[in-house]
Amino acid sequence: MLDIARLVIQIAVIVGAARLVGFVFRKIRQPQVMGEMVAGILLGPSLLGWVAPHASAALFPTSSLSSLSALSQVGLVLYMFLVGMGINPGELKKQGHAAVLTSHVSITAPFVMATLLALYLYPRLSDNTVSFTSFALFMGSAMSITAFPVLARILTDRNMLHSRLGTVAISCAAVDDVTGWCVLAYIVVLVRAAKDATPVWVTVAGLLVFILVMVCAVRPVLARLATIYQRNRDLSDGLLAAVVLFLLASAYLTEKLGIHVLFGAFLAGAVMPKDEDFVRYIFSKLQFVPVVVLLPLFFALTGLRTSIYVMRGPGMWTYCVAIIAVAIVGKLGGSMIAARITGMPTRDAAGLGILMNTRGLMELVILNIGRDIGVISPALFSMMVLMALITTFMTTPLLEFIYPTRLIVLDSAPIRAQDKKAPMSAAAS
Amino acid sequence: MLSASNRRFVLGYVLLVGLPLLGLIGNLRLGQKLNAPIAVDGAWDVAAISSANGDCTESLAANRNLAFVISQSGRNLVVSSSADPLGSVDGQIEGQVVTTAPLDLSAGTNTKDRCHDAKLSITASISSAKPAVMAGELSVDGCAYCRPVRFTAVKRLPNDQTEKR
Repeated sequence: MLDIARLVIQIAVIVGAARLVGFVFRKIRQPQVMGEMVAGILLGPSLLGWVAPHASAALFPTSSLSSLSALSQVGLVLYMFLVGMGINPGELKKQGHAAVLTSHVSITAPFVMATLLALYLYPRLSDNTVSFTSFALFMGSAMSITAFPVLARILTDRNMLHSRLGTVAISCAAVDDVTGWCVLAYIVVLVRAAKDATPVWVTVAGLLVFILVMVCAVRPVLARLATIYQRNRDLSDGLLAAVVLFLLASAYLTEKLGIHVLFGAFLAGAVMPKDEDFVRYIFSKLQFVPVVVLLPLFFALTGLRTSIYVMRGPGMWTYCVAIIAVAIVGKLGGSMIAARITGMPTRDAAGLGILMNTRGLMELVILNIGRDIGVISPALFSMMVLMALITTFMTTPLLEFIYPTRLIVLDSAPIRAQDKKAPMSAAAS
Repeated sequence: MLSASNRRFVLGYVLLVGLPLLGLIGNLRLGQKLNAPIAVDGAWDVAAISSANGDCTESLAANRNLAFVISQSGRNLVVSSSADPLGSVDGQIEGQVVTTAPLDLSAGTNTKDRCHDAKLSITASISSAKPAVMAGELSVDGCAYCRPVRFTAVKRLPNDQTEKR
């Protein structure tokens, strides 16, 4: 039976902790979302469960986690819709060969290095219910992701969003995310197909048909929303409700197809109109509850699953260091080398590598999916969470060191009103 | 005929994207030869405890809902029991053998029981024919009187498990 009083207390504690720690992190010039992620970890067995296990067990008894989990998943569904809305294929097409090569190398380099690392980790951190292929592809996908929303936030804070470096970084991050999610969808299909009777090809075919319908049939219809908005500078509550119903239907369908609700939510956002004012309007209507209230619940649940305790022993920390090293070398190094080869100046290339190394929230989403489908073990989950936090935390200070504010120059890219934030960066604040 | 710029792009793409993808295929093929430890993650219900040890086993035998929960990360295990849900100990799985550090498994209700406040180590093996069944011994550390107690445990089905963190 739902203990509503406990649920209310849980939400209050989590949201309060998220805002408090987020405030502290903003003071040290880190994104708010970084603080919220850390707050979630602190509420779990790594701190609260360690110093006050009975209080932790009283606040977060196992029986209460299903309600919290359901709310956090709703928040994630809404958030992934916003992430999808923030990705604009039109902008990607404008980028030249250099950006295409850089973005693809920023995926393949960490991906391949991660599968190499998987050869070492699989016999040590996995079990025989997980195939090596699923494990290695998951590691590759998790290592090659970039936190598109957090990246947008960092670029906005440093007034770099419309610089050449910022434009290339955002484009590369968008390509990375879309590719990473496609690979993850395939992994989910593989793992779930191994557990039920549905052949893989049926699920893949169903997904492809669904994507075709969304892109070719649904997207043109949705374009009318932008037209209505441009005419009235507003959408009625009925139309906004229709948008929400659409994203929920898309999420439901991909879950039923055997993928995951989040893919449907992301796809729904991706096929929405990309008019900047329209996107900003939808963000203003939809982002508060998921970003301020529900996402911290997700961070707390991630924290409850993360335990430094399971990483005891010298072997475990060796694996953890290896994961962090491969993540940084693959992503930062790969992106930087690709950017240099395409002719980008060394400082800009280093800056791009640093930005692409930001993994943030998107990494946590992928890791939780991996944990849910059983591809990664508790210790590996904790190590990867630590990797996500470290690689995200290092972005701002490294960027300040390599690309200090005084060197930021807005180049020939169109300059928008300086006070306008990119919608996606607001979602990560 | 490709321009110099396009030639550089194609060459760069082949070297920096194409070759690594070939490496990826090679890694995936290589990994097929690897073996991961047997899965023992989950809740295990203790099905039977031999009573040959007399005083040492009464509290264990009296606890009809005795279970231990294993959280597995490869060869490394974290084990807790229904008798002490907040406590946990380290364990290992090597091949088909599970071993743990001393764990509180007793109900502690029978004060005559020489094991009522003792912790017991698990040494058990998993049959490859029946991976959902574990059979082994519970050993009382530091108690010369108590000989190891034999037990069997059955893995609870996933639908019966409590919320997995």
